[in-house]
Amino acid sequence: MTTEDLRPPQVAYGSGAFYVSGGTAPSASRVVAQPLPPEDDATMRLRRIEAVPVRPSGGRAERRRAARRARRDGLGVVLSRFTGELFITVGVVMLLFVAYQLWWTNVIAHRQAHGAASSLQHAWDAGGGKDRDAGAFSPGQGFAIIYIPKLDVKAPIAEGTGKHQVLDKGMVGHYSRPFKSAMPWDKQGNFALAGHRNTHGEPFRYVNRLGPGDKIVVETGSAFYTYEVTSRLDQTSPANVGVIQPVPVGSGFAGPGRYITLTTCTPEFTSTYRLIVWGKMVDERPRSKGKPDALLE
Amino acid sequence: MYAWIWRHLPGNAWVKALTSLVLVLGIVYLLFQYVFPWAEPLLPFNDVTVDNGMAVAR
Repeated sequence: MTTEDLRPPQVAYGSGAFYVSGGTAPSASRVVAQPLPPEDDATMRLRRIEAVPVRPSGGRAERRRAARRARRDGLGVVLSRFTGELFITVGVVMLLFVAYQLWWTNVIAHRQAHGAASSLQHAWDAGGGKDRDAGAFSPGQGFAIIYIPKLDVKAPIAEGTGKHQVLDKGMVGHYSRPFKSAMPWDKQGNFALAGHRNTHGEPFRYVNRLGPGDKIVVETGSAFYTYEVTSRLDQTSPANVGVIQPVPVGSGFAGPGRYITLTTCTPEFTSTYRLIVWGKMVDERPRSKGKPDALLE
Repeated sequence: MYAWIWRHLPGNAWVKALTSLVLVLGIVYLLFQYVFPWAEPLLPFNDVTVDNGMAVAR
């Protein structure tokens, strides 16, 4: 770089001879040699005309799509929005499940149990007939109706304690496992039953309120069997099978007799422990003689 | 997700609202009728027998 290049332009403009004769750095000299625009306060900048954006062709739908593409959210926004909506959805589904458990299962089970009980009574009124052996009932078949007047409970009893076949239909299950428990009409033995404490008709919801002297009535095809509650075990292990043995362990019964055992879960809404209620038979009344006193109060 | 569904429903706002309502009711029906009864035995809420849950297997 030479010193001529750094000279102020006026000097270069004035020395035209140098420009013509020298010719050492033509490009640089030419730039330097350009005349400056006159400084004038009266001039104003011209407005620049922006280039018109290319509008998408193809009508309104195409333009709308293009506009949407232009304001599309970033990946982070989309992902976090999706996650949030997913959480909200999971919460709503959980609430729906609670509603299903606490309300809808009861609606369905009450309907089914009511239907089962009334069809049993229709059959009994039509046929009468003798009670059959315990083995004569197939799992899920209703054969009796249990009444607990104090709790205003009326529910059909079916063979077996399978959830799907019996308990979830609002019925009370008669134990056929781990061993076949006795029937009310047997000369002696323990008539062991299981029922839901919550949901699915919850026939045994309030059995914890039963105390000594309260009546439980079992109606079958031939008779009404009235039991009296003797004792209650508020909490025991789910593995405690002894409570439904012919002479229940822990019930206070000394020898063989005609007993009834109700089992359900406790505390409410859990399956941690079992609640047991025991009773003994105090009355057997043929259907021909009408309802027992316990049902007439 | 829901905005996407809303955008892809046909018709004007009223038709979309009605369609959404029907969709929601349909999903609730499916949940109550099929999903919840299926899920219920898998959750440890309602064992009432003293055979230690053996009855559940049936």
